[in-house]
This record gives sequence, C-alpha cells and structure tokens, in this order.
Amino acid sequence: MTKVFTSILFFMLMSAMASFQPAHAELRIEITKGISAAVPIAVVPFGYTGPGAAPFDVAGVVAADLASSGRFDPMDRKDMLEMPSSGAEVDFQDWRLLKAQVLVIGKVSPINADEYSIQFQVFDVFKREQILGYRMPTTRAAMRASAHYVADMIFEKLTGVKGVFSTQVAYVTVTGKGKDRNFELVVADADGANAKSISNSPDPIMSPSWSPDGRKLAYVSFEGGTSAVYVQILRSGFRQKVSSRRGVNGAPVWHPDGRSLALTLSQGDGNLDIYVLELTSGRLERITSHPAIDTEPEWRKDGRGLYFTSDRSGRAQIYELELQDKKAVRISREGSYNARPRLSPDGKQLSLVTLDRGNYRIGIMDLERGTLRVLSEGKLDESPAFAPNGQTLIYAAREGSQGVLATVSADGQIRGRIASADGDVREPVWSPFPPN
Amino acid sequence: MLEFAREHARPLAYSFLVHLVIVVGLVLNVTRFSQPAAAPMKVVPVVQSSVVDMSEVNRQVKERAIEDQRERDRKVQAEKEKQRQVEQEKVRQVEIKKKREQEQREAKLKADAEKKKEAELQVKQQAQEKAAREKAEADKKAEAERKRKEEQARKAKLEAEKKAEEVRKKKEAEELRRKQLEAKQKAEAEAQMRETMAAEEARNAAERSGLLAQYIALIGQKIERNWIRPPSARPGLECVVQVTQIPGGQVVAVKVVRCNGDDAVIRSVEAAVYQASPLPEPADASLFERRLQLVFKPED
Repeated sequence: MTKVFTSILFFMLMSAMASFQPAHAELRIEITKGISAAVPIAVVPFGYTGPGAAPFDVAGVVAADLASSGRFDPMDRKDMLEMPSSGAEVDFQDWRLLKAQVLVIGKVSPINADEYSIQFQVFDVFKREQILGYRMPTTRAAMRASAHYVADMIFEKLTGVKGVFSTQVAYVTVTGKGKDRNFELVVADADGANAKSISNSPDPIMSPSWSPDGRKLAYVSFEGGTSAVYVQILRSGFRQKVSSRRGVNGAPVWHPDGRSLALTLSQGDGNLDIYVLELTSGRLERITSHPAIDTEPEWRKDGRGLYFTSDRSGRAQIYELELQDKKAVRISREGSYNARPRLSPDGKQLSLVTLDRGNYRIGIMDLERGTLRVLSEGKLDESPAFAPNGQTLIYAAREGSQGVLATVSADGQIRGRIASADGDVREPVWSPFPPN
Repeated sequence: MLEFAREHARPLAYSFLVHLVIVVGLVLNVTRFSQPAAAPMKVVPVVQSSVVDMSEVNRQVKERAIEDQRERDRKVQAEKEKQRQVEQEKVRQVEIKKKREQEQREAKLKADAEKKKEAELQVKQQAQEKAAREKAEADKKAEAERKRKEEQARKAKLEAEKKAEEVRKKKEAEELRRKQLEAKQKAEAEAQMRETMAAEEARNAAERSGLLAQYIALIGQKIERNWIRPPSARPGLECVVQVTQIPGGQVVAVKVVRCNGDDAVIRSVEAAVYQASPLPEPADASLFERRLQLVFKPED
C-alpha cells in the first residue's frame, strides 16, 4: 500500500513538473497599431425566387456602397467558387480560402406584381457564424433605396459606425461655355445615382447648405445678375428668397435648430461681414464688423458660437466667435492659409481648405488640440464637408479643368470618387441622416 | 390418477378380485332367498253317515261330538303343532341358513380379510422392498456424489494451488516490470528534467540574446499588419485576447478575454489574429509558446 502511494506521489510530481515545463508565463504582446485597410468581403449576387431575371441587382449596389466607404474590399464575382443564397449552402472553408473575412448572401422574392421581399444574411467567415440577418419588404421602385439600407445595416454592424449609403449629396455643376453656360443645383444619392437637378440658371449657383432636418436647401443664386439667398423645400420644389440685399448675399449656413441662417453680406459698403438671419421674422443681426473680409461662417455644435474665415491677420485663417460678446479668436495656427471651415458631426473637428506646400488641400483641424492634418493630395481641392457619420469627407477636386466629387476618410487613409454627371462639379455637401 | 393406478397395479387387482367375490356371493344368496317356501298341508274333515241311538246317539253324538271336538282340537292342536313345528322348522331352517350364510360370510370376510391382509402384506413388502431398493440406490448415488465432490474438491484445490502459483508468478513479474518501469520513468523524468533545465538554459540564453524580444516583435508586427482598425478602435481601447497556436504558428483558438470596444472592434481583433495565422516562428525553438496574450491598445 505504501508502495502504491509512493509511486502515485512520484507520478504526480513528475506530471506536475512536466506540465510546469512549457508554462513560462504566457507571452504578452502589445498591439498598438493597426492598418486602415479594406476588409475583404464577399457579397454574393442575391438569389431571385421569382420567374425570369431578378428585377434589380441588390448585391451589386450593396457591394458598391461598401466599396465606396473604402473600408471594404468586395470580392470580384468571377472569383467566387459558388453563389449560395441560403445559409445551408455556405461552405465557409471555400470563402476562407478565397480570403473573404465576411460573407453576405441574400435573396429577393416577389410577393405580388410590384412588391418584393429582400432577405439577407451576413456571416463571419473565421468564426462560421451569422452576424446579421434581416428580411424587408420593398417595391420595384424602392429596390435601390432598400439596397442602400441593407448596405447601411451591414456597414454599421461591421464597423460600429452608422452607414451613409441612404443619405444624399447636393452639389453644383457647370456645363457649357459662354452663352450656353448652365449652372445646376443637383441632389443625388450618396453613391452619385439618382441625380436630380432642383434648380438651374445661366448665372452662378453657389454654396448649398442642408437644413438640419434634411428637407430644405439654402443656396446662393445670381439669377438676374445679383446674388440672393434662397431656401428651397426639396419635396415640393417650393423656394423662397430670404436675402437679396445690396451687394453680396452669400455663404448661408443653417443654425442647428433650423430656425436661422448665418450668412455673409456686404450691405452696400462692400465690407464682407457675418450676419445671422432669423427665417420666420426676417430679423437680421450683424455678428462681425471688421474691415477685413469675414466670410464662410459655420455654426458651433452648441449653436452659440460661430467659426468663420477672415483675412484680418493678412491671410485667410479660421476664427471662432462667441455670439454673446461677438469676440473672435483665431483658432487655426498651422499653415499660411486656412479657409472654409465645416464642423464634424461630433463637433470636435473642423474640415477646411489649407495651403499645403503650394497646393490647396483638404485638412482636418482638431479643435481640442489645435492640430491640423492634411488629408487630400490634390492641387486645388475645395469645399470639404463631412458625411453625417463623420467618417468620410466629400470635396471637389480638380481633374484638368473639371471639378469632380472626391471622398477621403477622416483618417486620410481611404480615398474615393463619386460618379457624377458631366460637367464641372463644385461645392458638394452631404445631407444629414434622414429623420427616422 | 392413471399414474397412481399404474404404480399400484397389483394391489388394485387384488382388491378388485376380493370385491368381485363378495359381490358374486351376495348375489347368489339373494337368489336362494327368493325361492318360495314349501306350501302347508290342507286338512279336510270327513263326515260319517251311520245312524245311532239318539240318546246313545245323542250321547254318542255328544261323545262323538266331544270326541270329534277333542279329535278336532287334537287335530287342530296337531295341526297347530305341526304348523308350529313347520314354522319352527322353517325358522330353524332360516336360522340354519342364516347361520350358514353368516358362517359363509364370516368365512368369506375372513378369507377376504386374509386376502386383504395378504395383499397389504404383499404391498407393504413390496413397498419395503421398493424403499430398500430406493434406499440402496440413493445410498449408491450419495456415495457417487460424495466421491464426485471429493474429486471436484481435489481438483479445485489443485486448480487453486495452480492459480495461486500463477498469480504469485505474475505478481512477481509485474512487480519486476513495475520496478523496471519506475526506474525507467524515473530515469526519463530525470532526463526530462535535465532536458527542461537545458531547454530553460537555452531559452534563458535565447532570451538574454534578445531572441525572445525579436519573437514577440515579429508576432506583434504580423498581427498589426493584419489588424484592420475599425473607426471605433480609438485610443483608450484595450482588448485582451488569448491566442493558442501550435508549432508551426497556426492559430487554433482566439478568445477575447476582455475588451472595452464594440462588436466591430472585437470582430476586428479576432479577424486580425486569424488572418495573421500562421504566426512567425521563433529563431530558437525553445522560445515557442502555445499560448499568447495579445493586448490591443491603439495609441492614436
């Protein structure tokens, strides 16, 4: 008996020693950096359960949306080994071999003549599990909007950030020359599709600005040779001239409460200053009275202060002003030229145009730290504006003599182009999220 | 029932015979009794026709009458006597007969009893004989059984002894083997310990020479190259991930131990590790670790 115990003890000791052997406290490795690359994703063409061909390529729109964000790299369809439309048909090993990290499948089913149902599922290829799955009703006409909505849900689930694929952009295009020159104010889906002209004129149209509810646009038009600020309701097309004072009427921007506009007026004496116009009463309040040019106002997130561009220091710089005492403080410190401030949705950053080694480029200024980061790489990039999720900026870049719509991620890592109609594209602005 | 009849055939047969005899005897007696007894004799008085002196005659008649009467009485008496005698005889006969019958019956009964007794005796004898036979047989059997048991016991004992011997031998062999094994294991353990110590030594040497730091850096860099940071992965984030790899660097398990990031961040760190598989191998094999603790802590 004693012998048995002795041997048991011996074995225990030995095995304990054996198990101790590889356990030099596990290695601890710190990961302090990542990359800003696109996640490989496979968006399989959605199956269609009705007769004939599918009425719309939902997966195509979803893949294009995700690709446009720069955060996803959709796999080419011709590289797919199979095209499952239900979870049971998915072979994760294949997708793993194809290096897809995320798999999106789905199907479109007709309900009646014009009504359809879209069903989609998103899988984590490494973990072989469903991340997301939804079914939604739609119509033939709403199919594109539904596809954007699907892309938004996928984007939000995978990045933790709300997608902007269902939002819109407004921009100005200039076509023709001389007498045939035509300015158009265009509203399009965020991917550039469904572009619609809401206003046009042979004279310049400038500075569109979305109302906080996304239903109206304020803009400047030189119809008849003089500038005026208009507010137009998008759905009805009804528009109202809200400011047509002598001299310059320009750069309108909506207060966060949607009840007033900040704008730039010259009021006859030719000195451009910042004013606030209350829309219902028409009451106008002068905010700056500086002999230098003060223009391009932008509201602070709290609505009690303004940012604007002023050359009072000799060259254009960004200033911040408290409405209460109307005292302006220069906040841009880096660079010899900083203009056209636009606030990020979280209110912590300003996008602006900065002179970077002889090139006008898009930059982001951190309001807390005052640091400036250049994001774009063009020669004459202008009019940056944040997407409503704060992740992307849209701006106009020059390509030859033409302006085109370009995007860049807020971290400067991802660049994109938005397809748009012919012509010189200027002053893009991104709509807020549609109200729920 | 049939069983019983078969087993006691002989006594039954005897009994049957006895009963048959009795029954036959009884039937014969009854037949005899049923024969009619002899008819009694008929006495008819005869009248004489001689004339006599009246007185005389009368006297005579008287006398004669008396005589006659006497005679008649006598006759009647005689007749009566005769009748009585006949009766008596009859009774006697009956008595005799009865007696004879009784005797016969008794004889018969006696015979029967004797027969029965004899039969019983025979049966008893037979039973005794049978019992004796059975006893003998049983004795024989018991004897055989006893012998068999004895034999069995003997064999069992033999077997047990053999087995005990085998067990003893086996135990001895096992003991020997165990001792050998123990010795071997001890030797192995010692060798392993020496090896471990040597490995530890090598590892320490490798660590000292900076190979461990290099290994850690290689793994870290490969994961950083594969970590596609979602926008929500901001400074302040800290995700501790436990990774299990096998020699060759293939990642077999990824477990997020704790993480203050959102779903997208968690998915991104998991994907980074899977995507970085196989992980770099150390320059010195002694530095390989199955388990790694990764801390995702973006700085900007």
